[in-house]
Amino acid sequence: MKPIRTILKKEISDAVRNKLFLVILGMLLVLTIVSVVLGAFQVKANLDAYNQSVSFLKSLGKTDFPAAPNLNPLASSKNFVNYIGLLGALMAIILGNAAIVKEKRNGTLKLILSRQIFRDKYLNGKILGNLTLLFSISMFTFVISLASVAFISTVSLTLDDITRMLAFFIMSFLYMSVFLILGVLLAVAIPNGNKALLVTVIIWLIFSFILPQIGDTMDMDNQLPGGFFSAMGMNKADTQKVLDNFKFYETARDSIEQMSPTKHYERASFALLNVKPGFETNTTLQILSIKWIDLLGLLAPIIVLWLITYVIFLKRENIYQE
Amino acid sequence: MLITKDLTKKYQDFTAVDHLNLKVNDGAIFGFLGHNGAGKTTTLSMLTTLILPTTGTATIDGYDIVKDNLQVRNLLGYLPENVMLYGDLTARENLQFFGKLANVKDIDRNIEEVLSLLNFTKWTDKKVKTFSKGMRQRIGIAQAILHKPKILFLDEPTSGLDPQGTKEIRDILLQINKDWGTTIFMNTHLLSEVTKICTDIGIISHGKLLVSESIANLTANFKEEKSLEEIYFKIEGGGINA
Amino acid sequence: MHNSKIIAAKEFRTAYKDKVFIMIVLLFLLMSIASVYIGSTTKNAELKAYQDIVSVIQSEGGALPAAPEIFPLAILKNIITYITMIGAVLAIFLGFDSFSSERENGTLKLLLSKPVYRDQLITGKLLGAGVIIGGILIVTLLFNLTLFIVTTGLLPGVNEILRLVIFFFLAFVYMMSFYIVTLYVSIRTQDRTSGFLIMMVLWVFISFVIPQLADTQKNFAYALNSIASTVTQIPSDTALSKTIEYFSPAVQFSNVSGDLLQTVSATATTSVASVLGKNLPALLDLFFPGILFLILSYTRVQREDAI
Repeated sequence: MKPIRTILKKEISDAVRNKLFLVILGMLLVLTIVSVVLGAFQVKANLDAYNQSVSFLKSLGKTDFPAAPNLNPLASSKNFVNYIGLLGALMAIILGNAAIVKEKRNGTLKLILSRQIFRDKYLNGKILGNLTLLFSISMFTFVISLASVAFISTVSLTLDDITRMLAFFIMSFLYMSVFLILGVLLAVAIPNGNKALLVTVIIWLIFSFILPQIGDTMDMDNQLPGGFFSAMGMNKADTQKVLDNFKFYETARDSIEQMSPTKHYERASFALLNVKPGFETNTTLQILSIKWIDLLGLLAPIIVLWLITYVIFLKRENIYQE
Repeated sequence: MLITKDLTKKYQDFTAVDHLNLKVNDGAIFGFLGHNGAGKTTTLSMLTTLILPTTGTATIDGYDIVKDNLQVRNLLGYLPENVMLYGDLTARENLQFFGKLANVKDIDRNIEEVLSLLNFTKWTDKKVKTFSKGMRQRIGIAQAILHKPKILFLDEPTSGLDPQGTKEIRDILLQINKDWGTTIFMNTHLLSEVTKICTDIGIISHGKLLVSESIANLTANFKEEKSLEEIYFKIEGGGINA
Repeated sequence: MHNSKIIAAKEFRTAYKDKVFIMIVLLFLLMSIASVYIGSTTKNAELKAYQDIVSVIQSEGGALPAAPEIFPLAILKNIITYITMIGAVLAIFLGFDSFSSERENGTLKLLLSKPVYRDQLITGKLLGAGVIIGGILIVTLLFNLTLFIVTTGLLPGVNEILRLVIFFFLAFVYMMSFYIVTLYVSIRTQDRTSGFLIMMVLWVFISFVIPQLADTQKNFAYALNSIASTVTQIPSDTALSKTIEYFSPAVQFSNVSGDLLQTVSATATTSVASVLGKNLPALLDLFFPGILFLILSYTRVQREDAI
């Protein structure tokens, strides 16, 4: 266990010295804070506005007040989903690629592998070190978000709100992990570190932008501003009726989206954060069990990619060559 | 062929080359010797018009390296240290490209000629990235001599080559010097190289020229020292102390 | 000019021998073709859905909703997204090592010891990139035009072709701007990896983060308005989000292109000149970064430490 810990520590201290990583991390944090704080202020503004109108109506002597708005404090973190999808993934790719490539470039991979350490321990140390880093970042943003929502919006959070938020940040961690391990895998599999990075970025583009984009394009409701079906003046049941006629089309769209970890991350997150309506009354565990396929959509690639990395790393003899 | 007058290059408060006065004759093979960081590459960069001298001047075949830099570039061939060339292009494509930029007329015939001189015709249409270091170095020389320059500048031409590769480069240089009368100016920190092919030698240390002589004169002046190596260390040692 | 052309030809040759670059070009072409195909099938599905709705309502005896307005060029609208996304990345892939790799391979010193001026080097690289990017866009244009004719069965009129050509010209400007900025970064950075990553971060910002910030700002203003009738919408908030959008050429490009490709019914049938006139600030914003960084690149490359 000791060598793993040594490598793990070194990975973290390396990352902290990586300028580009720090820049992206800085931007990610600033954006998160800005969006969460803005979101929290919005919730507060909504709350104030409601209270104001209630007291205004009271002063007029009315007794039937409008229903309290759905404040949904959790949705303050909504933009974070996109930032993680973009900057978080890019950051993870950089970390994963650098973890292997830096050792190859400096010739230290050869040195380390000639020490008394097994290759699997070495690889695990590297991956775990970077995962620890990503996890800390996720937890740090969780605490910041929680604090700003609690203190700025002054809406009281329930325990379930907090666990939902926690679950969301864990999903974010898993999402970044997929790309971290993808970065490591390609850096191990492709001898030229530069090319490995480019290919990782291309794969990221395909999964994070192109596949969801195709899905969007195929979404009929998306083709008119404000939605096709509402333009047609249809309610949900009627919409469903029409959609039933296009079952095959919808299945094709869905399966394209299923291939993208980004889509899984989005779906689970929007359910957890109440951005997508329909999950307001569920507990965290219920949501996770409804959205198990999305959880699996993130966990499965992590495991599969890790295994493939393992096999390549143990088998390739000229692994240290750039 | 080449004359420098108080050629100096300063970077802020660091003087890389300090009042360098050199003269290299037509047809000479000049070895510019010094340890790493002595100012050899900076000198070469100024002479090949890549960077401007802070003060002082130099002329090549009568042309000033600053004022007439375009003419100077037409006269010279240059091979920097560790040139990788364009790996995705073949040897021929690389040569065509650099030859066109050097205004070489009748380019394909020239390429054939130079490559057969270098004994390289077998690999003409192979991608450069598949080449060994010695092979790449030969293509590097080929691009530098394609336009039959009057003077050829080389930066550590044999560094990192195996004995066979080193010998091949040496033979090529001797041959173009003999056949075309090309003046050769080469930076090196390898004494053994200098003794094998150079006619003249300059030693630079901490930006200052310590000595510039023909090899014959040098050995005549240092009679007690048995080899050029001993002479070098004597001069170098004196230079550091001075 | 002669030297620049030689360099341009070399740029072209190395680009098409680069497997990763070819991969991303193919991806781009494939995506744009697929998007037209998907776009037209979705439109067909919509039309069919409309007919279904009509028949349902007719049987119930209700009033018919208006038929969805479909403008022919709107079928191509997904290309806008592909150019802002993949097009920009393609330009980054083309440019990120255009200068730094010459430096790393030692060829920069070789080039500059030949009778070549440094500005010719930049011009040559721009020419090369222009031919590559232009070529890719022309292939896309021709292919999409064909597909358009086949799927809609319509022959585009002069107005439509003009809109399409201007759209592709703007796409060219947009991609070249990315190339120029990348070239500048490549001159400034010592190793190519960090240059590439800097550009990817910039790309994420321009294409996603800034538009999103602007959107958030818009929603903020709207939310205040919608919940309590006592609070009116604050115009300064939409002004702010508009200002934020000016930091993103991607947003400007999408807006102009949306008008050109008839995705907005208000501008779908007006003359091309009026579309461009309406979008004049956006057009200026689109041209500005490229010109600025072009000048910066030409000045920067003259410096000694550029080598």
